[in-house]
Amino acid sequence: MIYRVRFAVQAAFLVMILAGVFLFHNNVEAWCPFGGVEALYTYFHEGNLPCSLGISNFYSLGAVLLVTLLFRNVFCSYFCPIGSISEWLGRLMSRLGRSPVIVPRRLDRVLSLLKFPVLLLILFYTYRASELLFRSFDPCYALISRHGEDITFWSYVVSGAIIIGSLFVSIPFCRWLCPLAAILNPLSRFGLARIKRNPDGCIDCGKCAVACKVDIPVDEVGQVTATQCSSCGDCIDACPVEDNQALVWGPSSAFSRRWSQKILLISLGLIIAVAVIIPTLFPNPSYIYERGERPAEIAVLDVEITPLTCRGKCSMLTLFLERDDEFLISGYLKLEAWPAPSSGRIKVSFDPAHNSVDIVKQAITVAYYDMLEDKWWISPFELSVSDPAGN
Amino acid sequence: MKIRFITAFLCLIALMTTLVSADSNEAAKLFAKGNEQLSKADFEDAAKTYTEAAAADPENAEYRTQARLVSRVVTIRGNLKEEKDAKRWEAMARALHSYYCSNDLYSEAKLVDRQLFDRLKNEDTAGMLAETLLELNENKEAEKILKPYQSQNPSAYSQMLYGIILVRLDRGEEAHGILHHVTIQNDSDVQLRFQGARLNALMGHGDVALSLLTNVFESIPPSRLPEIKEYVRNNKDFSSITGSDKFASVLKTESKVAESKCSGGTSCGGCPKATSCGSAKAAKTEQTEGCSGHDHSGHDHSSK
Repeated sequence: MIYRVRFAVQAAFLVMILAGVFLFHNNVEAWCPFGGVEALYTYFHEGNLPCSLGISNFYSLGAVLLVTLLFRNVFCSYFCPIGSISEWLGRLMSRLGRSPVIVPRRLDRVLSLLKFPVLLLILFYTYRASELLFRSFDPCYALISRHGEDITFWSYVVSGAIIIGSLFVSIPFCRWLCPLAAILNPLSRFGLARIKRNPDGCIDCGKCAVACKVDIPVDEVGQVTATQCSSCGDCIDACPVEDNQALVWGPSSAFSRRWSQKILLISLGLIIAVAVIIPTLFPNPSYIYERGERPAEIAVLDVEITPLTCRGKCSMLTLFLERDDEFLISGYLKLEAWPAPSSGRIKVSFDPAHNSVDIVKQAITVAYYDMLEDKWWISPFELSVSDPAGN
Repeated sequence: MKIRFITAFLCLIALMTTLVSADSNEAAKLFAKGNEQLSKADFEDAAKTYTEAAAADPENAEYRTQARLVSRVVTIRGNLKEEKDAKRWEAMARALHSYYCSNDLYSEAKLVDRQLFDRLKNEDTAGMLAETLLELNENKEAEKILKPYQSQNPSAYSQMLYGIILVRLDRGEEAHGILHHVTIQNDSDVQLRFQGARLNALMGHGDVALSLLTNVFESIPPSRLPEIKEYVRNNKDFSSITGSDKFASVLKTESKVAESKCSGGTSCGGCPKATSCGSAKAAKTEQTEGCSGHDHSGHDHSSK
């Protein structure tokens, strides 16, 4: 059964996210595909990434876009944690004998347009501020941040509304408000795969349309081209006709050409593997600051540093590296940073003819008096090898 | 067997919790000891004690930052005697002055201010020294330092300070002349407005003093405001206004300065500078204009 395998993938993915967040304290946010959308403008306009996003967000986004072009919105039906939880809640209610509220098709179409202004609103303010201002409302962030600093009362209001809504209506957030769906849906129109119906084999029982979570009239079309179709396969599972003689999933050509779920899973596995392996093997920094002309010979300090949770901290680190006291780093300087929730990583490149690793380390950790502002700055930073007095 | 294992496991957890809290208690004691040593200007011992406190409780950022700061002060005090570069020496001396004043170590501040004044002999260093002498109630000495500059086209700030000295030396009529002579606008330097409030309070012009104080409080970053309010509450120069209801109302004044909070939090979403802090360009601008949010014990020479 298609759903059983899909459920296993959903559950495994959610467990992986939760383990990453709660057990290993990884920067799970750096793998969010929508984070890639939010970071695009800032990256191309300023050369760095907001908050604790990373280049991995772009790879995730690329993988999701590719998968959508090939197989339609399978990210939504196989991987998205909000979609998974929302779907499970709906199924739970069905098991308890409570069917979801059927939303009239016209109303459903109108409501599904809401996701576009939601997307525009998020992108406009995010791009203007170059910061993830909507984290405070993001239900996904509420989950993966372990109640982070940006979490507000509204995060839980939104999360609560999604949970309660999912008990009564089939995946309401995904259908009507998800900003990522606003990007993927138009793209999925060009998806190679689709649900295909054989009018000769079909017995017109209508069970496929009832099973569809997004209310697509599967029993009335030859091929499902609706953009909100996520190739979940629930309609195929619900079809009583044996040997897939009525409904199949495959390329948009003859009914006889079909793809199995195995092909989908293998393809997804390969695409995800590539999207994970490349940024892991070639970890481009999220934040770069460079000053001066690069000399023929450079030295590099490559260390773990805490706290380096976001771009704001990287800016503060730059302030210390640009100090003008006895720990002045003269000549060439380049800072590459990888912020993360627990500990980040930095590479500081400098001219060894004028500076040493010790000077750089002390520049980062020793308190600094700024004469221009008559202000003491006390470094919050700990390098992977340092004593409490910053020596 | 199972019950024994569970019991042993729970005992181990309890023991570890006790050890952790014992470490925290020890660290707190060391930190308190460090504070006492610092209040007696015993910087070397304070630095060692703070370092021990930080080692005993590595999770406590306050202990760690205090250890770093005081260690740095100790280093600067040592290096000051041997520094040959004039600009660097001045930066070090000003750093020490800032630190001493923010920690109410005015006797130490007087020593370094005297050295600064002896070397540079200008109105600015005279003003710094005079302010410190005022904190130590050495009013005659303060007058001796600042008087020569009053006939050499003095700054408004220097005149205000001199006015305060005159009132303290019971020469209020001369101070009156200064108040009439110097104009303080709402957008004047915050140092000038503060000293103007102080002089007006000393001269009995309560309403003017309160109005200036309100303006000053609005102009000071939120992280520094409690310290300044406390100073005003405790400084006898403001005693003519601190008992009034109007002063209680002025104390409720909130800062109108946007201050970043990049010392805390995983992002800038809740920060008042979120819309302007994000770019590298903005970060550079902040470095010159003042990104004031970081946890520090800095002294704003302009605010006291």
